[in-house]
Amino acid sequence: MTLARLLKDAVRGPGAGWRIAGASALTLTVAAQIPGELLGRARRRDLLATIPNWRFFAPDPSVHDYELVYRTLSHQGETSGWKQVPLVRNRRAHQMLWYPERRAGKAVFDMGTEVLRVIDQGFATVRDQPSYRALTNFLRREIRQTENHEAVKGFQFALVRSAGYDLDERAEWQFISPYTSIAPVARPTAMQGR
Amino acid sequence: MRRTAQALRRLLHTALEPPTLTRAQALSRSERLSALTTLSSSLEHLAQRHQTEPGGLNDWHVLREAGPTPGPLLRRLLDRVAEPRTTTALHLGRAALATALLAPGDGRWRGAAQLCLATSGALLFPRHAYGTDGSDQVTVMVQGATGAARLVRAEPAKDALVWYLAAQANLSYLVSGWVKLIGPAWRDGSALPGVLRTRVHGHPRLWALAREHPRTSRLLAHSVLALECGFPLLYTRGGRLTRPVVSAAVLFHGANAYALGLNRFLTAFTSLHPLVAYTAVPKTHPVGARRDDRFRTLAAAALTTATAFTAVAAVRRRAAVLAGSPGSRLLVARSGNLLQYEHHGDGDPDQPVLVLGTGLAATPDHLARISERLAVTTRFGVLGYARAGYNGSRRRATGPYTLAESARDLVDLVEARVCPGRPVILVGHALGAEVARRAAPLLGDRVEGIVYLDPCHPAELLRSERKSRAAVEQTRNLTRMAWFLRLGTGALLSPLDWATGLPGPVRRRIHQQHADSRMWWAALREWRAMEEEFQRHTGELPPVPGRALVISAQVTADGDPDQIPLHHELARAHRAGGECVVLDGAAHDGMLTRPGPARETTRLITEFAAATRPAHPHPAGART
Repeated sequence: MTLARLLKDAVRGPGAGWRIAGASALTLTVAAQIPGELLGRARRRDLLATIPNWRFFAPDPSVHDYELVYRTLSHQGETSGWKQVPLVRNRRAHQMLWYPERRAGKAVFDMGTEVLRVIDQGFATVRDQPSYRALTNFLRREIRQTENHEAVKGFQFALVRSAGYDLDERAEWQFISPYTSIAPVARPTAMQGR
Repeated sequence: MRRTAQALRRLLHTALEPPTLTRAQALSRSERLSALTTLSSSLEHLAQRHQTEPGGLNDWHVLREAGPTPGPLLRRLLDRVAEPRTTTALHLGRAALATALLAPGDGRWRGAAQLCLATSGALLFPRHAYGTDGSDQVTVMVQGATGAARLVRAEPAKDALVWYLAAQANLSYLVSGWVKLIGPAWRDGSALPGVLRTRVHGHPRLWALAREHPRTSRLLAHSVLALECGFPLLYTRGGRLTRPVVSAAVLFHGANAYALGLNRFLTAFTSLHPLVAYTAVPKTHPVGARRDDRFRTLAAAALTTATAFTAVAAVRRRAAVLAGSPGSRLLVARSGNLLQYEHHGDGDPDQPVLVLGTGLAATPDHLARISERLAVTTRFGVLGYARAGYNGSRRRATGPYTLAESARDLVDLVEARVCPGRPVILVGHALGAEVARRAAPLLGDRVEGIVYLDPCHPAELLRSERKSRAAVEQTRNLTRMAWFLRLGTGALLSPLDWATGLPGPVRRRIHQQHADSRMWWAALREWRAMEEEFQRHTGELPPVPGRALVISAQVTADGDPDQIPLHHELARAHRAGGECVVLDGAAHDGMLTRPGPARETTRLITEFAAATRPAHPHPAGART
């Protein structure tokens, strides 16, 4: 059978629509696998994440954690020491089957990556990132739940890049936020379009 | 002994037996495994419900601003899905449906149930955007395609859907394996202990073991690479390799579940294996003989067409990049290099000419906001050019490249295209400023001054810890961009946000320049020379003629405390004195590309140039 005949046969008959749709989706998936943010056009509009990313731990694996730390400022103007938000539990065998807390650890890692990606563009850009706002709100709630929040006027947080269990490597402070008020930010009463 | 040998032979025979799985069996196993993933995923979200409440890591009031903007209909749907009660109800429903799918049976309702899970999974993805992973994506894809395969009646359509998932499975291993090979950490074996030491993915005891036994750890990592890169080999030898390869993959995902805490990946990826096994059944078997394999032909044709399209687009793009902007001209420098330049404005003959030089991996259009404004609002001459290798400028000099070559090219450009006697102010961003500093002594007294825009300093790699650390990443990023674009991936370049707001033709040119490998190869060549020369730098900066204005971006100054002293040294090296200014709120590139900071940069350049003494140039043809 000639190539032309093979192709003609493939785009005709029962299931042709599925074959064409599948081949197109596969091509789009291939196009979305090029490493690097700049070459990410194929996935740019994919809000529902329907185009898979198969580059797990590649080409450069994540060999660091982003620790989330904060300190508070009291109404008297006193600053507390830095405190770490515990997000990842110690590893246990049962986590092979059930490990819901991993999502929170991964979420902070994703947010840290997003914040640090735009840090070279200045704080005005960082401040507009949903990840920055989510981290700020998260810490505001965390402090209100774990501290005597009435004594707290504001807080500051930082993302510290550490080598996890490897304590021989020095942790590096990657981002330090400005002081932020502990008072909750007014929320929109109804969802508004963007 | 003989019995043992016989048993081993039997075992080997069984292991190497080609698969005989029917399509119905494959679909049934796949949907049960992906149902397990959904069950686990939804129960996890229910257990972590506080993260979706106000102040949680997945608070919808914040998250809805993340990612691409949806259309109004999808926006309303996502808002509805994200309501706390709806989210909880959806997860409860998904968990119930997934449990039902685990029960025995083969009814068509399973197809509808799977499509429900796929649709709800996709709609819930933005709701839990932070903390999702590849297993969530795989499950939506598997449930969507296997659900459709259950519902469609035509056998070829069912096979097309199964083939689609099998092809994705092969692609997942291939991409993961081959892209890992690009990373030095995977090649030298440091990746595995590196990942294992992290708290988010790692395991303390296994990390200690990997560190104690580096050779075994490296062997293990390389075995994983071999498995991933060679996964499609299971289709060879009549399907005899299917069982060993799939078994190794199951073992791999099991190990990941234990070591890296990737529990859902185990069921998510193994749900693809039955479909792979079905497509690997040899044609000599009745199951294989009945299977419709036309998807392979079409997929190969689609990939070939896409490759041809990108190749043609790359050739057209290269031609446009070489042509440059409509007003550009060419000049042959003494080095043999062909320089593309453009007079943005001639200005008044008694006023200085501003010669603009760009940084690494940037073209004259990068300075468009500044050059256009200077040309329109001032009486200075404005001359922009592309260094050899960028745009239509070609490097024809033989021998290894040094920064001195670029400095001499700049001198040739000024001498050939600026009237004798007319003062010159060199304006350079980053590396462009360093080239200007080296060119100035060669130009002598006609250099009225240099405007340094967030410049490089030849001692920065030795004195700035941050710059020194970033150097490795710089080499890696430039090398990868150059290679990926050479392979024709320019069509995949995302729109450059910083170019938004520039006139359409300029924006299109900038996009073409960045999507073409040429600029990146030139940048890599310059960066290697720059890194080598900067590493060897000793002593103080030599004196530079004229005045200096050093404009530092505030973000650069804030992020690296070593930068400001280096910038001050640049100013002090000027015989006629220098001034340093920090541009508030500006970033390294943003000072040129963002409207506000670019306006301020232009103002500072204008004020600096306005202090120049009037000149009496000789009129000379097309010179500025």
